[in-house]
Amino acid sequence: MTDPEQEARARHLTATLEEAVGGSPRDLTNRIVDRLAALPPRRSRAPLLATLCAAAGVAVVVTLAVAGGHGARVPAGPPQDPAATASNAIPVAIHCVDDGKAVPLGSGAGRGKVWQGRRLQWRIGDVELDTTAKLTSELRRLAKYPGSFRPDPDDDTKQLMRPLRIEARAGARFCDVIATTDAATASGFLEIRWAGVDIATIVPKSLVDPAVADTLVVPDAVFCEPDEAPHPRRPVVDLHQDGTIVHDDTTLFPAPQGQPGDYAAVRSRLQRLRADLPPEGEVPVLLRADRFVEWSRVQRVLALAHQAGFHRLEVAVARAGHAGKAGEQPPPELSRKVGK
Amino acid sequence: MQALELLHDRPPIDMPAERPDATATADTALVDRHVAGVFRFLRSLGAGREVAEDLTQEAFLVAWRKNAQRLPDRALAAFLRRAARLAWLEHRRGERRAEAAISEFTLRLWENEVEGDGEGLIAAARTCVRQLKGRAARAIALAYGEGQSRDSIAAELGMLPNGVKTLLARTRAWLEQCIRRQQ
Repeated sequence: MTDPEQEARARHLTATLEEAVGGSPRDLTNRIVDRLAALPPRRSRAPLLATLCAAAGVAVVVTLAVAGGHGARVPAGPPQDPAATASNAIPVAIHCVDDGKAVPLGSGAGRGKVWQGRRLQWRIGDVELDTTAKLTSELRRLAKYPGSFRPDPDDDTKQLMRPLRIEARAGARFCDVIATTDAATASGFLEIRWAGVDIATIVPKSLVDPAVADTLVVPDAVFCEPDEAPHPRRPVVDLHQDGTIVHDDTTLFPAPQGQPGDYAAVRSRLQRLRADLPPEGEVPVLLRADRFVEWSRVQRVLALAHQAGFHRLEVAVARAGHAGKAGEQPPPELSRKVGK
Repeated sequence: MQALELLHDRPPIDMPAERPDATATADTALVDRHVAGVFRFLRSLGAGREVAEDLTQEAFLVAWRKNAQRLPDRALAAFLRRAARLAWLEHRRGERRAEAAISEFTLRLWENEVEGDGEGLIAAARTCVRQLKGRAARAIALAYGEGQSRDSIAAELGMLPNGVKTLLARTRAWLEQCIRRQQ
């Protein structure tokens, strides 16, 4: 028996035991179908796009409410079936080309790290972009393109902008998704969805102090709301850099060490929190996630919160710069007149 | 001038067109039939849970882009495993040569020794794990269920880390034999 074969058999046995003891993924099918629905089945042509969009109707899956100091805010949409609406969206994929080098912050165990020299690539259709400046430039071009609009089902004389769908691939981190969301918002997109997160409303809330803990520093975001007067019973869930999930000083999910983890405690805590809240009204849950935590972990916590019955989520960010610069202001209107 | 205007009018990217709901429903059924097998294959290759989930999605996207969803079930499963393997090698491009050799064996193992999507194997493993007792059962639960390190398992069981290493190795060897007998 050769070494590669031994290694292959050892890995196979480990994977088998981990699933037998630890469980299987639950919502993977939906995430895949959601992404398959966004695949372009054929090359389309501009004059056909408006008609095609009209056929599918309009729905909001995830709306990022943006204020950015302007007071503008996109109204929350109702929860929708993402599979039915994902095909409306314009996909933007984030690829991590090089994860860079992890540099510890300070000394001692339990300190956080920063990743330096990371390189990302964004793909929109066949266009590949390697800087946020190029991404923003391409998105701005796209935001003016007629094919980026669909007829308003409530008013034949108007057109609505199609949603933008951010698909973070393996290796992407939370800060990458937030930076891409900022670029999309600065470019004028009004509906921004995060693939695999089927939640009606996600609002970036800016904290006064971005450093929640040594291993939890929230990402910077240009477009966000100040976290003023939060609901007194709003639950706050922390997702640390190493994957640890904490609520109310209780560790619900310990840092994984190369093995699959059991999210049952997170799930049951979120369900209990939701059950303890009034059945009516939209009390959100705030997720404070470290800027460098893997996006898939953020995605999982958001999905668990949604499954527990939270239809309104807030993600903690730190206000970056100011949003009042020309060109970074989100458009004030939610629709545009046909022909303009 | 006219040429410039025509150039300006072209779509800036390939825009996604619509997919009817019926297609989405068919996709769901097809994905549901194959998703566990692809995920398990990637885990067999050595991918962590999160990476395996991401790469499973990539494999399906590749298959659908190539219209492989029209293949018969067994052929589609084989296609998805090969797409998943390439995605894994891309993910591990730093160790591509070693991973290529290992994954070649994993591919053969799945094609020659694993039935369907591997559900029978998981069921056999569960049956065997249930037969464990005492510290062996606890050590396996902590190591494979909760992902705990050898040191923390040792602390919980009141053993030395080397003792845990031996216990896990012996239990694992017994489980491997047990799973083979079950199949």
